[in-house]
Amino acid sequence: MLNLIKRNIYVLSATGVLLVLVVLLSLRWSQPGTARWLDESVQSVAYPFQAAFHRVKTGVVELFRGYIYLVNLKQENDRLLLQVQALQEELNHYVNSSIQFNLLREQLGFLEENPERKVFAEVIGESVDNFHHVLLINKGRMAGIRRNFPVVLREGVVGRVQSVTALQSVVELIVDRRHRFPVLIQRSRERMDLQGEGGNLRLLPQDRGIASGTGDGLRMHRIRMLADVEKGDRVITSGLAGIFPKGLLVGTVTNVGRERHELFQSAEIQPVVDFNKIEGVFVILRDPNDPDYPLFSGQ
Amino acid sequence: MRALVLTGIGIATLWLQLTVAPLMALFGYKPNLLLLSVVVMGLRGLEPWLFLYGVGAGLALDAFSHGVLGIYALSFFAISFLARLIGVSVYENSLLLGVAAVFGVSLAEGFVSVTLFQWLDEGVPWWRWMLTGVLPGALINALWSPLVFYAFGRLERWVRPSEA
Repeated sequence: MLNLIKRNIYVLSATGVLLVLVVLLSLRWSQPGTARWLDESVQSVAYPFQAAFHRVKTGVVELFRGYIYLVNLKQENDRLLLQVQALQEELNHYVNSSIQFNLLREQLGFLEENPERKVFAEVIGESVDNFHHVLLINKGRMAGIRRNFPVVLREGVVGRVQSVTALQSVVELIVDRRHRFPVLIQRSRERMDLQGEGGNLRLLPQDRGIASGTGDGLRMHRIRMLADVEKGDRVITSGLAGIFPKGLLVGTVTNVGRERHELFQSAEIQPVVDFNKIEGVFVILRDPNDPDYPLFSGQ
Repeated sequence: MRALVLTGIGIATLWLQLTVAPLMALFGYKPNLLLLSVVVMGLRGLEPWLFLYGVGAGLALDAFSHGVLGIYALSFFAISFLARLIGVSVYENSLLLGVAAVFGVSLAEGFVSVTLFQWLDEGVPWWRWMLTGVLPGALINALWSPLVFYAFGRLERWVRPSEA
């Protein structure tokens, strides 16, 4: 028996690993609660590494930029080099401070002008693959954040909290391919569902048509011909899905296409938030007694 | 010793995936260095127990992409065998064949991943994901693969100088 196992150790190991993986994936169907607990445990372990790696990445970028910068300056004499470098550093410092100040002032204004209770969180990581469009933020359950809480910026909607651990949360961006939520065309009040398309958004008008994004923007298609959608229309959240409050800006329609031979019209949408430049976000906190408390947050 | 070297390669590749890969992105698509390491090792026949490395790399990618735990592990498990099979039957240390193999295996990995995603979430548009996610990703992987082949060639000479 032992010899048999030894002879077939490779096949047995591979089969064992395969079985474990199949069971792991099957948990999603049979026991979603256990699967979520497993996800959050893994996230808790991965969190410090991801945060550290993110800082290293920022350091690498700065180092690279610094290197390029220095290579160009070496053609000048040493005295000027030092002087220019010092001045540039000083200027860079002031510019950075100024930009940060303006950004924080704008966000602070947003915080003050809006009565909803929010918590500010810094972005400390992002997804490593091309399928998921998520951000890792440095606030979690201890800050009052729960699953499905809306995440916003002054400019508009960012996403929703996908999962939470004690110290960090994962935010699923609205451009994530899995994300779908109802929206309104602000002018005409046409109601639609919006779905992430990985860098883009996809509009699914309820019983009216479908719109999807392209690589560098948003594209709506299969919108019914009678739907009143025009270039420049602002797309806002409808507040119907029980996650986002009503009226948050999502994006603007940049182009509407109507082909005579087709049954539907199409349009492109530009999200209002630049997802590549997000450094911090606001998570809107909800009281469990609040009628707008997001669905399934406690599960 | 072999397990230590593999673990070291895995950690280093994960570190590069998290820190350097975003800087290597073209048109918003990052190369999957973990996948490339599995494929290149499989093609070069460096490790008979490659599937264990593949599962480890896949689980790491699952954890750090914040998706469904086990999807990449399963797809990497499958492609580690596929890469070894191609390595044994077709690959003859030709860079062109290697790049083509990386492209093909990346497509296969994407096929498995997206199919599993769809299996777990019926709302996933399979064709759209294949065309807008997997295909460009496979091209980016193929584009960066000569660098990975070179790195593993150097590593092989360093780890096993007598056989290189």
